This record gives sequence, structure tokens and C-alpha cells, in this order.
Amino acid sequence: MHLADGVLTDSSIAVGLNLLGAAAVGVALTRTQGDARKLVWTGTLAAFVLAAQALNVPAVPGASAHMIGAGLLTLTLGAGQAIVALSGVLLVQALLLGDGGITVLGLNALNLAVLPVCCIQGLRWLLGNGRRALLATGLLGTLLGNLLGALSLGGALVLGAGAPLGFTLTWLVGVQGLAGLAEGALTALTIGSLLKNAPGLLELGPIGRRSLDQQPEPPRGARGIRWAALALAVTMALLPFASGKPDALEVVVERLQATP
Amino acid sequence: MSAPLAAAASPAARLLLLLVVVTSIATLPLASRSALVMAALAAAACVGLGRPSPRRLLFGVLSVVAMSSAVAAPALMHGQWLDAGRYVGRAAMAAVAALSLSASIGAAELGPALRTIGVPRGLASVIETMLRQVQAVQLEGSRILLARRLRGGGNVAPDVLSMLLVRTIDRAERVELAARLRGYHPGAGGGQGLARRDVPVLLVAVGIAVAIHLV
Repeated sequence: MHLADGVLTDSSIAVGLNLLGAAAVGVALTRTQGDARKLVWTGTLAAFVLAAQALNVPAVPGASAHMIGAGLLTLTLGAGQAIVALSGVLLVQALLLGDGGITVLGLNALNLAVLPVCCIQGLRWLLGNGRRALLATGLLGTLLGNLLGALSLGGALVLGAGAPLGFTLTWLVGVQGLAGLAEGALTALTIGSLLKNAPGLLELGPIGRRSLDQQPEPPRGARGIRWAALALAVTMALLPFASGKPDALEVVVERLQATP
Repeated sequence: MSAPLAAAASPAARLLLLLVVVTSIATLPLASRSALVMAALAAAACVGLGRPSPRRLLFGVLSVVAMSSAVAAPALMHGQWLDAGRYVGRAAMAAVAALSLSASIGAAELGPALRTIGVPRGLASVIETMLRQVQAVQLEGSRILLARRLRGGGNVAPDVLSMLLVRTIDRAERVELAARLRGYHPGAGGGQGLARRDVPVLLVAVGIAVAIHLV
């Protein structure tokens, strides 16, 4: 999932996506002017993810995958700190380990930090902070975040390097989907274990500052807004696939007007 | 560190050299034969300057060649060998330069070097803390696994992960508190800054960029 230097040939795509990723990391940085304790937590969890990402597991013949860690970081630190931590991991991998490109750092941050974290945080916002909700967020959010990152990388390769669409998307989304499923299950189990043994670790994020037991149910109005926002997002995502042909009502109206 | 570059320049200058050279190679015009030759010479010079581990260099370059070959597969299938070769070669040369020059930068040097070249303090501090803690995370993880094995238990991943998280954060908080009480503040100061001895290295970086893109 780490894109290397010199792979993208379309400079406008490369620069645009890099700027998008860098801007998102910049926003996360400005929103996380935290205290010293947060810095220690962020750095330590980033070290944890750096160590975990070094382990590549064979996913399908010819390709391996590694965990991203966005689920665990988002649920323990909150979205802003998670993006900063994952960006730090990517920077260290590119500058010290030669893993991932330097000229595509913003793009890698977009695919591996910003999109997965936003996906998980969005799901957390939608489902709330109950025990089951957190477990579901760990599983589904990690899976969806991995898929979204893979789609974004596939899109960048297709548009920015002329890679074949079907092969690229099938391969990336397939491998990363499998990896995301495994990572999501592991994240959910770890979150379950943390909820049992150290729930305080899950309280630092912006949503779950209070104890999980005291977390009130969101009011009905707020829940309605969340579902409306989800419906709007789904509609916007499906809009490009809309058919240009008239719908059934329009056909009926046209026929009624045609008949005298 | 055995790399001659490490003795010749400050970490910030080495980092700037890495950024400039890799960016120059990664963005070189594929149609220009002279630019490709210059980039190959620059990549070879980087190997001499950084002296990376051959094993690390080989694995790193092979993975980049595999990735770029997969993207260049349609060109190869249409018989455009030269175009595909140039494309894969550019990615491989950028990887050689990145792996070679990154070998000259130590883990402890990266945070201050990033602050010197203007990376936001919040990010540089997280990176410094991360690099201080990464060894502790690995040690703690192997200790937990050994203790489990000695007790006859299996490596139950979620339990190990949550225990590792709790222990490393607890340890990190204690270490940071002790450091603060002794007057240490991570991320304080603006890095060491560039020195006069860095000028030759920075000139080499600019020279390589000019040679690849303008000559």
C-alpha cells in the first residue's frame, strides 16, 4: 500500500493528491495542539504501529499485506491524533527505512492515514460509544477504511500512471479487503480486551472523554441528523452511477401528455 | 556510522540531500536520455556516500521494481520495452538513492533534523517520541510472548496486543515524567541548524538537481 517514488507519471494528479493529503494532515496538526500526556500516548502508539507494520503477512499468492493500525489509533487517540501518528509513521518509513516514496508522502498519508481514520471516525460518530458499537466500529471501520484507501490508491495509479483499471482495482481492493478483514477482526478483539481490562485507554479520544458506562444515548434529533448525513453521503457516492434515462414517473407523464 | 556522508555533514543537511536528490530522480523526464544517465550516476554516487546494507538495498529495490513493473505491464504487453524500461528504471534509481542516503541518517538524528528543516513541531515531537519508544515496544512484546510461552499459554493476539499497549503506555508515561522532572522537554528548541561544513553537501544536492533537470 506504500506507493514508491517515480511511479506516478501524471504530475498534476500527483501534486493534487499530495496537496490534499498534506492539507488534511495540516488540519489534523492544528487541531491537536495537545498536552504532554497526549504527546506521549501518540508517540508510543505510533511506535506500536511502526513495529506492527514491519510484519508482512502473505494475503494471496504473490502479494502480502500488513496492518495499518488506523482502527486502534482512532479508537484510542481520536481522529486528529491518529492522523498525526500515522503520518509520523509514514515519514519515518520513507526517510529512515526507504519504505514508501518521499515525493508521494502526501498521497500515502491520504491513503493510509486520512481516509481510513475518517472512515472509522465517521462510523464511530454514527454508531456511538457503546461496547457493541465500538466493537462494530473496530471491525467495519477498519475494513471500510482499508478498502477506501485501496480504492484511492487504485484511482491514483489508474489516473496518474495509466495502470489498467480492472486489474489494478481488483488486485488492490481484493488484497486490502482480505487484510482489512483480518485487521478489523484483530482490532475488534483488541478493543474488546481493552474494554474489559483497561477502558481508560479508550477515553482519550474527543468523543469518549467520559466513562463508557456514563456515556448518554445521543438525543433522537442528533441521531436523525447522523442518519440524514449518512443518507446524503451514500446518495452523493451513487450519483455518478445514475442513469440518464427518464424514471418511471417521467415516462408515465410523457405518455399521458402524448395522448390527447 | 560508517557512511562517509555522516561525518561530512549535519543530519539536517543529509536529510535535505536525500529530499532533493530523490525528488530530482523521481521527477526526471523519461524522454531525456541524458537525464537518465545523470540520474544513474547520481544513484551510484548515493550508494558510495550512504553505504547502505546490500541486503536492505536489494530487497528495497526489488519491491519497487515489482510494483512499477506491474504498473508498466500494459506497455510491456504492447512491445514498448524502452518506455517500460525507462519507467521502471526511474523508480528503481529513486529507490536506490532513497535507501542509500537514508542509511546515513540515524534514528536519533531524524527528529532534530526534521525540526531544523521546518517540519511542524507537533509532528517532529511525535516522531521523536515514537523513535524513542519503538525499541521499548519490541522489548516489551518479546517479554510478554516469552512469559506466555514459559507458562505454556499460546500467543493469543488480542490479549497480547492489549497487554502490550497498556504496559508500553504505562512505561512511556513513567519515562517521560522522569525525563521532564530532570528538565528534558521533547520537541523543545528548533534543532541544531545548518553549519558551514554543510555547504558542500548542499551544493552537491543542487548540482545533482540541475544536472538531471536542466543540463
